[in-house]
Amino acid sequence: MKHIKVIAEKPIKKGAETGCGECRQSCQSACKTSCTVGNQSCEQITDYKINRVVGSKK
Amino acid sequence: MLHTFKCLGRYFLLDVESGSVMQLDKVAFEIINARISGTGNFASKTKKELEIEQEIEELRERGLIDSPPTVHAKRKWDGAIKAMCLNVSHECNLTCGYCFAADVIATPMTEANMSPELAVRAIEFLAANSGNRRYLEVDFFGGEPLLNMPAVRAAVERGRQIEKETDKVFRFTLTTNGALLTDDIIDFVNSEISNVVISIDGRKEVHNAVRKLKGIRNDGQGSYDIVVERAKELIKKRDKRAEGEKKNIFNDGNTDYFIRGTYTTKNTDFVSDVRWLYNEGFNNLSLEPVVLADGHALALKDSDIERCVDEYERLAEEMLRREKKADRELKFFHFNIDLAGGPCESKRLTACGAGYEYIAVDPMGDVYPCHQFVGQAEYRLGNIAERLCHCEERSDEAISCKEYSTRGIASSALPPRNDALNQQKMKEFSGFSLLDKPECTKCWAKYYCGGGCMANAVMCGAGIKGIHKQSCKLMKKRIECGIALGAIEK
Repeated sequence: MKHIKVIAEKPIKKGAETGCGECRQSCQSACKTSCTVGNQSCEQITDYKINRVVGSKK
Repeated sequence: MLHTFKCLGRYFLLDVESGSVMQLDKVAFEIINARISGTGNFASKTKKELEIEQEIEELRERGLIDSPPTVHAKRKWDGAIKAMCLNVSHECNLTCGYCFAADVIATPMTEANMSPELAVRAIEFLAANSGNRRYLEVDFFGGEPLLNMPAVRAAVERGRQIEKETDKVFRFTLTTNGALLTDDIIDFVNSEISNVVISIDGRKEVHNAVRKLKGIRNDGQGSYDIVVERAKELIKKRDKRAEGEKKNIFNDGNTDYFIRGTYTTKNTDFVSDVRWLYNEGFNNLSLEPVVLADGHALALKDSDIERCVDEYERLAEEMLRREKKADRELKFFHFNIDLAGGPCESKRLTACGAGYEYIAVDPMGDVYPCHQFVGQAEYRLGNIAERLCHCEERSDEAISCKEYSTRGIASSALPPRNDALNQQKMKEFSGFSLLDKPECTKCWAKYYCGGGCMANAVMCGAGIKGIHKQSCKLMKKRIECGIALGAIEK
């Protein structure tokens, strides 16, 4: 496409496989007064990668 | 729903329901805007306009625009708590002009510090009531948590024991003003605390005007010099640790930190503070708008907000310039948006989880929906110290002990069950989401802010389901900057 560049394709995950509740509580990161939920990461993905690459529970 | 915006001299399109992001050229931007407003002239088209029409059609076929409104399933809380703010001390060695905890800091000294026993029981309470959550979070907060290191150390030690006995993983955060970071405490923190948040407001004169030391010898002096010196020492050692752990690409080895500042009506030119902190050698920064009741001398005025919005644009420009030079990384917390992933729909709807997944515990064991509600009696959820279990002394508690022992977490000091807290109130909090806020459901930014901070809404008089309008405007600009920076990176 010449005029439109796709940057991100449907990143918001929905459905039965989601909502595990493991993601970091947003005020535990850095804010404490102005909650931003969209800049958190998905713990399911992180957990998968950590277990695969590091092989540790932490 | 589509949202178009211009940021950093570029044009963007966000498909709200799917989160898809596109960068546009100027003509495509104008055509899509005309379509959204229904003012497009579709009669005669140039070659370029026809090309753009085709590209828009391709986006639609790929499901990247015009996604239908999501039908949200009613979320049911499973009763699990996963995060706790542990106010181990309501004393403070600083007096800061904007402190939201200033009222509780006035607590009599005898009640200012949490006992190590209660800190341990709070950790056990969290573990015992966390259901199937694996990652549990505890933030040591206050007051100044370093004024009560015995409680901090006891809580961490108990958490590590529980990790060995179960599959739970504790992630500890420390939020501190930094002035009491001795070498010994730094070693402990870098060994045990996965995320450290140190409060520095930016330029020396800005910081010192608000964050002053308390004490006989130095009462009223600015805290900048001591705090920055200690913060640098902590981060130097933390970075050294990180170098040794480069194989861990997820930075999960107690290496995270943030320098977190607050800006007020006195420094709406806060890009200068970000620049200052960066030049001091700090890479991970978060600068937050102060939230205070109208009339406070430091409160942001409505007339400040447009300037702050422009300031975020300037900050994004500065970050882009630095990125091109690539001399040293600069991370700004609120611009850090993962365009390829990020949280799922469920998390985006419910935001912080205050009052059910997340609770705050004060030094006497009183529990509140979050750290900002501490001390507000009408929001108190209960007390975890009142129901400390002593089977041998109180036979009526035997049942709770028995139940607890079946959860596989051995303990000599048994914590209370979740029903120590007001379940009705917690269920009520679990039902709050952006879906309860009609204004939010129609907003393009809803999946990034999650409906905003309940405590801020209460503070400004809008009520728990209300909206803090100033935060709303600033949030939207930060999200646009975060998306734009993320897009340009690609």
